[in-house]
Amino acid sequence: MLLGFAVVAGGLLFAATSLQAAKTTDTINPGIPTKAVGPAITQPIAYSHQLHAGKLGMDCGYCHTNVGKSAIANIPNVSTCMGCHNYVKKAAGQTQPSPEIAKLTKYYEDGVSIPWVNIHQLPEHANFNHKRHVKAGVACQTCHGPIQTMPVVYPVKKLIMANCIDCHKANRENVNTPTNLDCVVCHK
Amino acid sequence: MSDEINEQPLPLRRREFLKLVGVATAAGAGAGCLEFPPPNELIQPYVTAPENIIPGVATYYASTCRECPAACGLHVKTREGRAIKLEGNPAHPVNLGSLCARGQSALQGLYNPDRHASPKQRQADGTFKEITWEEAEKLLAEKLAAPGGAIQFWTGQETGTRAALYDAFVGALGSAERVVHEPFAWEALREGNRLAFGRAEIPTYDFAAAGSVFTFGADFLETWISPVEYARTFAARHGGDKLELGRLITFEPRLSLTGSNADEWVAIKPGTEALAALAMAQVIVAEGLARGSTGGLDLTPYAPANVAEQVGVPADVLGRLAREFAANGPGLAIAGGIAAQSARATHAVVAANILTSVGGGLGTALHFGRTLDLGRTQSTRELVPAIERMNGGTVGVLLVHGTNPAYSLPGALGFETAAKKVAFKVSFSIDPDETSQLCDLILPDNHPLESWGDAQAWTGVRSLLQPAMRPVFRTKSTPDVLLAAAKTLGKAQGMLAAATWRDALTAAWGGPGAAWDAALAAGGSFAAPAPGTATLAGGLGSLAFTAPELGGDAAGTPLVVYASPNMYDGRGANKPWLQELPDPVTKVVWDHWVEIHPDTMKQLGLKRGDHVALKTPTGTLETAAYDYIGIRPDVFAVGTGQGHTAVGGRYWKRGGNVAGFLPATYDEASGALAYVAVRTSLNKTGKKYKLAYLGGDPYTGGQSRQMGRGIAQAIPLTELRPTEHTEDKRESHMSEHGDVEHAGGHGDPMLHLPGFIGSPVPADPIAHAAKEAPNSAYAKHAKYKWGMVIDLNSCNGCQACVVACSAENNVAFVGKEQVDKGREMMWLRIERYYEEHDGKLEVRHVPVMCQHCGAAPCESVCPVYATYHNPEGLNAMIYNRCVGTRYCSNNCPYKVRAFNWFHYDFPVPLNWQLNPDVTVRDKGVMEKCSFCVQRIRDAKDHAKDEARDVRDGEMVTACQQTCPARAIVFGDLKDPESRVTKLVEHERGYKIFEEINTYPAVTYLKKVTRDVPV
Repeated sequence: MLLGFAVVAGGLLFAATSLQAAKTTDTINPGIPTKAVGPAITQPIAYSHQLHAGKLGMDCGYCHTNVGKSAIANIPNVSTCMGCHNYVKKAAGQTQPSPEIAKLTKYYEDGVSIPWVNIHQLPEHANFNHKRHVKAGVACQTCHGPIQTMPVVYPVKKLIMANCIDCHKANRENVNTPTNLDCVVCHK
Repeated sequence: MSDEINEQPLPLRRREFLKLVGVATAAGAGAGCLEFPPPNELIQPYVTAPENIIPGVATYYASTCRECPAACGLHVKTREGRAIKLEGNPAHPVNLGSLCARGQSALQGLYNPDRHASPKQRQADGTFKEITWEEAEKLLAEKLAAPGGAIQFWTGQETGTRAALYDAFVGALGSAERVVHEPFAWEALREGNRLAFGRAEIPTYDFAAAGSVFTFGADFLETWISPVEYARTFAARHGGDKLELGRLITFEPRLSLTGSNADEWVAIKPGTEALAALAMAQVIVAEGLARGSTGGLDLTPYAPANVAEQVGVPADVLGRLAREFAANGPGLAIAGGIAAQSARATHAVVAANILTSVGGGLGTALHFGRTLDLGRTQSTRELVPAIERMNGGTVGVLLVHGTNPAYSLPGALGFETAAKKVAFKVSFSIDPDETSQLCDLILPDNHPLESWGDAQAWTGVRSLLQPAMRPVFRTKSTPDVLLAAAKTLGKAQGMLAAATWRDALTAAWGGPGAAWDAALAAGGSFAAPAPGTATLAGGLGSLAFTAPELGGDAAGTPLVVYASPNMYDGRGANKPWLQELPDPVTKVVWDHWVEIHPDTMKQLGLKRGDHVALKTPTGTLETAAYDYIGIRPDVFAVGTGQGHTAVGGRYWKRGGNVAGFLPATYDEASGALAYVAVRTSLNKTGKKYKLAYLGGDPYTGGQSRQMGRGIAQAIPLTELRPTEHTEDKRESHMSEHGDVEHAGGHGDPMLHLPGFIGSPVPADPIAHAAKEAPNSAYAKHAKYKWGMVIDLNSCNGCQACVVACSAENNVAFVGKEQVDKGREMMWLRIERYYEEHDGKLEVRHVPVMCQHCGAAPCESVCPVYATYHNPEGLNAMIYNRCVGTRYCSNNCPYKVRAFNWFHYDFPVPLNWQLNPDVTVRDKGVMEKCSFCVQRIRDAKDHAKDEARDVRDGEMVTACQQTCPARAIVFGDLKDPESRVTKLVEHERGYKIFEEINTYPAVTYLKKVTRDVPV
């Protein structure tokens, strides 16, 4: 909301070049919600998607490696961050090492996992399978919003059943990716 | 929560709160939360991800089960580094993918909350204090360096590299001995085979090749040698569609589970197995029907007329059965089970071998192509000198691993007293058992699922163990502890020079490399068995076969001790799954009992559940009385495995320990402990007591009579395969409605009620199955319709499926009190019914789970649509929607729904075993069999990844997966080529309560009874 529509347009373009070649069927990716439905919760390290995914153009799947392999889309391992940050200790244009990167390095060296706060928290009585949605061509931004514009992640889609059903109902007869409306699929 | 992006940093108190709420991944079983919306959880990644782990995807490791000496192969399913399910290794020659109830329960041994969690040292006041491994190993090395006497290392049965390491260690110490005590070590069997065949080994018993099988107390479907393998091979010959005429006849004073699957039960007197076998051999030889030698033994003294009274069976019955054995060869006679381990156990084995020989079974049904190696074992009698040495004060250090002599040896042997005289005692035990309770230092070993190792059980079958996860507790592999000790003592030569146990093991397997990696992935190296022979040795003529003299008062009643299929020798007793698993014969849970014939109960003035005391000259055993029609009226029977006294176990302090109470008498020839040894008196103690059974109420629960309901149906072999004489009988069995495939069979009295119009069973089951659901318009979209077929002719009632289901589906255990109220949670149960024909007892086992009815009585009454029929034919249960009216359970005619009356605990770390793919249900929610919907989802997921449909056989329910007898088949009824579709129209097929029009998705195939021998 704060970032302007130019970025939104760029975001749509980004969606086309993101993880999978996004299908052009509108019903699967009806648009990117932008209005926040929850707070941007401060995380233990001030990691900025706007910098990494937006400015640097990193693919979502570079860090969230298991989206296409598992029901659980993983938060990247600390070692994934260290892949670059072993060497990149300063923010662009800074002369002093970044305190956030220093925090990250300390976590890694101490062997402590970073206690990220879960923004997109699905209740335990529902199961969501990332792999199937990614393979069906749902863009990350369709549910997670314009992540690449967010310095701190905030939710743009309430994870309530109605939001899931909207898309699942709309795509029942979709030729390429028909959806399932069976209760037990998510509530097994 | 605000809808606006909050640009301000959050107040500190929220962050503090969040720091307290730590959850490893999004799929963890978090604590119940009463706030809404719940506070945000933490989502924590790996620091460095282990190579093989993708969160959300299971990783499988091949290993070996060590719950009994058979050493079946395992595939351990792990999720995020936790073992959550055990399955058989399909490539392992012994079990070929299936696993028994005890094997499935090994997970509760791994995650047992009472395990020794760290090294401990006994303090002056007798309590144990936790110490570090450095301190513990330092103390061990000190004591071994200066033992102040001899060293005794007591171990259980071990083969392969670990056995070699133990022997090397003991050898290096000098003045040390390894003493092996394995309670069920089949000593009589090996000695009997040595006498009969010249080979002190356990041969291959090929049930698939046998015609007639006569068992003399060898419970091959429960504990005898390798029950998973035998269940499969027996079902291959006697079960399924095999309509061979050869029968299984059991000769035992007390009908075991194995015996309940027999075609005829001959109730011989305890200890007379040899006489019964030889009597039948005599008839075969005398009538010129023998197909093998008698090894030089003159059988005339053993003619039925001479031994009938001793055996307790009429001579003409023995004669009839002998002729049958000879006519339906190859005949296989087996003996050597615990329940027949008397002072004449070895002779029983020799006699059985002679009977097999004359029955033509040698070389086919019994051969030495593949033999079972138990490693070096010692008979119980051979342990006496070792105990005496301890008693004499000459032993300075006692080490104990993998055996619990303070529990499993008779108290009369005085192990405990002798051990207390040893200055320093070390236990490597995993569980806080009776023996470790005596010790001064506890250095807990890793559980087999956390260990490296190997098992060389059967010839050509070398099984590997590899850790499927890191140790749950602060335990350490005993071989590593011994290697470190050897180094400290300066004795690290040969095998002991290995840096770690893993190195020693790898070296024993040819060193690291491609072959080792392949063996690890496969679960070992498996060579095909050599063709085998078996020839009876001569010189058996010198043997004299008699019935044993039982100890105790002559007026007492002989006591038969049988090996409990659930508890085994007692090692399983602290596992709640095994305690809550009903005994397959009596359906009693969480308890111990003495079986008494109902007539005898009446004579003694006893009711079921009365607390009684069995008294012999050497001990008293307190237990509860249970009336059982499957026992001789002049015999009592008690099972092994309960009655633990060790304070550490929270689940196992119940019942009586029969092994501890027995006198120290032995099988004369082999030295095996005589389990059938004594006569006992039995008196009420006057204490108030109650037995609990599956289903609660002793009248309805563990109910033994079908009363014409047609739940477990059977069809005589002669009706299925009519001969000239029986053709007419078959005609009359056709229903009045003219359908050949009529509803009901034995159990359809409803058809004769005035005004009752039975439902016609459709001629085209596939079309019927495809459209039978009333909401079938919804089902038209679906590609699959799931259905199940259970063959009662293969099911032997072992209940492996029950434990597998509980493990897969996070089913809670509720304890004795709740089961007594009928509140058990098991999704699957084996119902056991008695039928009587002409005074002969027939037992039927039928697995019952949610039938996923097409016209389900439960679905229409749920006020909140929590249970509904899904398009693929499942009766689905949505736990979060259920409000707990319990109307569905009220309506269910099969009573397969379980309600969570309370919040049931999974005490840490038992909750590590929970399957993350299945919801953990809380109080107030109904649950039931889901046809393993999570596995269906998984199968469809994999198929979709490969852009194809699910193939037949790819989707396997947990119960189907583990069944050793392959009795359960599951698949897609819309696929004309699938196994299920073909079986649904089987001639033996029926559905339970077909006449009330529930249209179940589960079809049962009638058990085939072989009443009439040829």
